[in-house]
Amino acid sequence: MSSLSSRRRGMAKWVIALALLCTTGESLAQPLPPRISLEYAVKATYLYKLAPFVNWPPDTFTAANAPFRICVVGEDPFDGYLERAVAGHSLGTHPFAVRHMEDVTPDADCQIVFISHMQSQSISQAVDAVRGEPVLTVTDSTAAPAGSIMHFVIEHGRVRFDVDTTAAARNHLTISSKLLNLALAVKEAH
Amino acid sequence: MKNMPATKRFALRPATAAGAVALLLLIGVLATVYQYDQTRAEHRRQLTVQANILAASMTAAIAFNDRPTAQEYVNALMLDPRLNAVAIYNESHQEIAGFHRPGSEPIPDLLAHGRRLPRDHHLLVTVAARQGTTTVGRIYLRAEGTPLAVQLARFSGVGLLTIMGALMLAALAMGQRALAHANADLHRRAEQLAVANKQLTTEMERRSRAEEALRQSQKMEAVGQLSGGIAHDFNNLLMIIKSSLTMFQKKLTQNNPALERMKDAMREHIARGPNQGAQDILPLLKEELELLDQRDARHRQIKHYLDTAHEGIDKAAHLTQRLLSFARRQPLTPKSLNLDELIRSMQTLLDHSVGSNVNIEYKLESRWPVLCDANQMENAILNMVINSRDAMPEGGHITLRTEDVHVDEEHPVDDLKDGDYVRLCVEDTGVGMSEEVRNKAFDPFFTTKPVGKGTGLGLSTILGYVMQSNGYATIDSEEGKGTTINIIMPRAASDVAPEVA
Repeated sequence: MSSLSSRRRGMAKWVIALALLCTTGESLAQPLPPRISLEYAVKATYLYKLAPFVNWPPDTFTAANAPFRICVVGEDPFDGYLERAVAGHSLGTHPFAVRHMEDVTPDADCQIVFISHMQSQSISQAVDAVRGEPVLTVTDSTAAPAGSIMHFVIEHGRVRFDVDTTAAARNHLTISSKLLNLALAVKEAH
Repeated sequence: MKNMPATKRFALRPATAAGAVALLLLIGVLATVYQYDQTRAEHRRQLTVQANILAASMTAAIAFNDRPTAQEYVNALMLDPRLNAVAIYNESHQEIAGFHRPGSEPIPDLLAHGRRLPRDHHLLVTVAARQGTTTVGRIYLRAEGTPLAVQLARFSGVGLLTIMGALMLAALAMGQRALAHANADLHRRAEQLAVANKQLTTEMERRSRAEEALRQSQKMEAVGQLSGGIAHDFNNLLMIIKSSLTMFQKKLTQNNPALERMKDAMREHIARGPNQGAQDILPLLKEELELLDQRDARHRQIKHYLDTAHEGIDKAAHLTQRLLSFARRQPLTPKSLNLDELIRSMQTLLDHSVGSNVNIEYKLESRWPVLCDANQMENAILNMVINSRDAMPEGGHITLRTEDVHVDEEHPVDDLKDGDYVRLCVEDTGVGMSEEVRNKAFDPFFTTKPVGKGTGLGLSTILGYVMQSNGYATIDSEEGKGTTINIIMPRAASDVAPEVA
């Protein structure tokens, strides 16, 4: 193939790419229309983005293609945004899946448990329910920290988080130091 | 150039040298390009490693949009002065952090827009920021291209070496060329010398031949003068003897009238018979008469001897004539005559001379007169014809040829000056001559005939006569293939009327 024709093809590609940029630039910048507050949109994103920074024990998944479950306990503050946010994302071979539940039970097949606001259980009860299981417990900034591994905090209008490595160790989880670097506060075992 | 030495085979010809220089330059360029490419690849590798380290250390900051933290990482990286710009994008293609030095452009998220990395002198690398298997964003690093001066400095070593090599080769080639030129010059000179040497050798040979000829001619001259001088004196002596003999004979044969008268008276007296008174004289008279007759008979005998002596003297005179002729002292009486007519007039003589088993063909085609002595010319022709006859004991064929010849400067014939000549050839089909014999044929006293048969003066006399007449004589002969004797006489001035001898 001559270099001339390859260059022409290259130019054609550029033209197509520019056209795409002009027509889809808007949607790319804002892929999802926010029907919820920006805060919860960020929190939803954080939830699934946490997964890679946690060292999951080898027996976490029963099958190679088993879904990675993010369980929202009690009220759902994301109003379905989380489902859409995780759609198409996966941790390795495990596609993210969102599950809603009223309370936390030890045999609940969850990898991440997010507790925002619930009635049937106290938050500490819920956290204790999965103690010793490879489950990352995350509590919302609206609630008081109650022994969960991670706890969202709002600081200067930004969503941040605290990490309790002792709690993580109890659940056989290790948190990446990179994530710890970003944590507002790290509670460590002594 | 017949035999070039072996070194020539390995000679550095200009074309070879140019090729070598070109090859060297090509190698230099290739080495430079390779080195440049390697350096660039190494730089790119280093940049990629930097990007990977950055990506690995800031995945959390990217994933959680922690811009200050991300910016800190970026700022730390930008302490490397070679870096030109850094840009960090999250998976939503939003810039998390970035940096670009003054005067350079920020890096857009090129891959997000389906674009390709531009290829310019800048080095631009991009790596995906991955946490485990999850891609959280993309990192772009751009480094300043190596400045031209630095690159030049880096490649100056190779360049210098290449140029030095090229210069060396060029110098070598030029040296070789100069050497080749010198060699060729030398060769040419040697050839010139060889030619000169050959000329010199030829010249020397010619000179030695000329000297030989000179010696020979001086010898001949001496022999000629000697024999001529002797012959002249001898001839004079012969003339004295001849005239004395002639006088003697004349006196001897002269009749004495008184004696005759007395003899007649005595016979008459005896015839009258015995006389009175003088009877006793008669027997005396008879006796006296008888004595007188006896004297006459003796005189006749003496006369016979005298004739024989005359013959001898004539032969001796003839010989001296020939000697004189050879010595060119013979008095000639040259006349303008036509050779054809001369030969025709002696045709009968010639035909008789050669006998029946030799025939003579006459091809007489000359018209110009020649100036020569008719008798001598006849003599010469007869001599040549007889020589030819003697060369053909088994019989054969003689051709007598005459023709007019014009010699000009463009077509020289032997050593003749330009002018008009008449050529006379006597051709035979006889035994011919060897080269040795031919070279001596004109020498006096040289003969191949048995002793007593030839004087060895025939051809030498002819040559002497011809040269005295400003002519020229040559012999063409080969053993067994006959002989041709050429006599070339100059054309006589036209105002001299031809005269038949």
